[in-house]
Amino acid sequence: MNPDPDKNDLTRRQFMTRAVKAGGSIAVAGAAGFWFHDSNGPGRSEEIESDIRLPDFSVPDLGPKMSIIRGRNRVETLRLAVKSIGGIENFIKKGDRVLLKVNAAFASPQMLSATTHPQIVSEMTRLCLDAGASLVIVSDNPINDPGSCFTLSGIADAARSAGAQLFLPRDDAFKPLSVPEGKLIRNWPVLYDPLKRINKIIGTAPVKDHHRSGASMIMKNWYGLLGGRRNIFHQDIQTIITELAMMIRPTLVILDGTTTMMTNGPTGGSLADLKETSTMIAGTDQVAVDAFGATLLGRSLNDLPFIGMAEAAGLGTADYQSLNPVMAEV
Amino acid sequence: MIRENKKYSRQQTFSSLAILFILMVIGTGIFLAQFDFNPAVFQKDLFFPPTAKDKDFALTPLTKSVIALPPGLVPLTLPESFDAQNLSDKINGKAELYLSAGFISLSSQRYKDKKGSNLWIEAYIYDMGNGQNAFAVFSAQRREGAATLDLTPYAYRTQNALFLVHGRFYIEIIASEATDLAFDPMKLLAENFVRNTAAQTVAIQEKDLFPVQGLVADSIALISTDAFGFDRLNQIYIAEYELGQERLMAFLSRRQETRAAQDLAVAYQKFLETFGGQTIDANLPIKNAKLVEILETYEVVFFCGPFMAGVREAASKEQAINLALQLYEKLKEVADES
Repeated sequence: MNPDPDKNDLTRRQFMTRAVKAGGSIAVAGAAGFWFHDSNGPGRSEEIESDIRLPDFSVPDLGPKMSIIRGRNRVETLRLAVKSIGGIENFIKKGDRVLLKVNAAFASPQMLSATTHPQIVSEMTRLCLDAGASLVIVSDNPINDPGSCFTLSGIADAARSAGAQLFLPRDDAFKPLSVPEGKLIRNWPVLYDPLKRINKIIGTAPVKDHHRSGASMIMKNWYGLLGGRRNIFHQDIQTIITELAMMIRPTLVILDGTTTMMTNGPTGGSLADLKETSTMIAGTDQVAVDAFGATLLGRSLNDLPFIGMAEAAGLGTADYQSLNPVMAEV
Repeated sequence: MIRENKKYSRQQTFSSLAILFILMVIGTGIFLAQFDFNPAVFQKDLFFPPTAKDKDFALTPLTKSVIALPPGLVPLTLPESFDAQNLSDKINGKAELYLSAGFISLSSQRYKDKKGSNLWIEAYIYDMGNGQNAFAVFSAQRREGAATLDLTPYAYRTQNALFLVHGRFYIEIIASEATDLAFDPMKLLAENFVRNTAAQTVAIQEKDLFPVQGLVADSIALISTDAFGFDRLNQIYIAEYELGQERLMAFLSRRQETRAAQDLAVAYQKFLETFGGQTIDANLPIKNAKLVEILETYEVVFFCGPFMAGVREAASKEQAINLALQLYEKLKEVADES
């Protein structure tokens, strides 16, 4: 700061004074830093709650409906399953904007049934568009990298060729959201961008064994709407599945039990993990649909606590037979 | 002080104040921003560099492949690597199976057919720390009826995939097609890995301790933790048996010493009783054995030297006792020798 060092007329006293002041400033700054230091790091903010709420996407006054169609041809069983509960027009009206929430969790070939089959994606998209939907978005937040998952599973091609818009998650597509009665989904990032653009949501998933939860079907599939470090929820997976069902009240769900992953789920990896179970289930009660799906896996409701927990939360019935499901064979 | 102030112009003073003001604004901004922190979006990878991975199979520089590539295959994607913190980013809910068995790291990569067919193959190389851990995850996922391969002592194939243990590594090679065209390159990949990766041969001595009569082929497996729902049962070897129309299971675990085996046998018996099991008074031909009836099946639990062992899921007392006696005789030979 001194323009001419040679003319430095600083006295010894001034120098000492400045040195003491500088030392004092450093000490105060250090003490302040130490005082503010939080060795535990910031905790989760409970006070700043998101004000984003998802609407109930179900069709009012329609009531619980369910169909169970036997057959090996996915397209035919899907068509009949939807028709048996009143047809797609019951659920999708002209101008509706639809999110088709698929399971694209893994970059896995379609023959391994770890992801939603492309035929389900293309046929559901066509059904929605034929019913007058103005927009069909196909999306998921996969476990693996999204590009590979959607491409290698065949979902990307199926969606685009049928006229759907493929939405791959990106950082700015997530918004924090809370489930009002939930204890885990509090201020948690959710794939909100596609959700804010739609007024109907259709969930579709294959029936799979799951090493942690016992099964991965419709309710577990909403896990693909979560962002962030969601793997911590594996520690309490039955509760998170229940809360996911609280978060999404779907318009319609399609559970594909044409081929069931009986073992080594949710990834599988071998055709030896699969069994032809030749069943397609459509319904509005996701709890009932999952309860039936459990039978394809040979699991009881005791094996899959999330079904009972979802029923206890008032999200549907585990007694799927009480809905008098339409049964048919293609 | 007056003399000092004269050295600085008014412009310098304003500049200093402006800088201080900007610093205060930035500080206030940081202070307020920290209240928006959400651990849900905290990604540790943004802050910490990836750790060094395995030492034995470095990437081949020219191909960027985790395994030396056979002719006909080229990388489809770059290699990926995962540790215990992010394994579930790759395999989701199955991560727990590996983590509980001592998982260290996973390297994976996808390859495609050089000729441009739709075939692609993904290789997963799990470093499980030691051969026993690798056998645990191998045996836990073994597909029934799969064809054994002679690549290593523990290797098999299914229609579209190949699974093996090589030293401390558990390897899965999975194809997008179930064709002969897919099998050949999968096998070559496996052979290349085995040839180029130094590893000790995995010897599971416990498999020789199970009685041979009625043993279901390839059913011997190792459960690392929480066997049969009991959190104290770890490192438990199991084997399936078919006796007539019935299936039942034998199990054994070598503990540090006889006392530990005894304590564990007693604890497991109590665990069964806690869940409705009833210990039956029976004159068993096995020393230190208990017969428990639970859920209309029978279990025998005993210890023999350092081994805690037994039989479970037997449809009748006789079957349970007969198999347990055979197992006891085998264990007694080893216990006596040691």
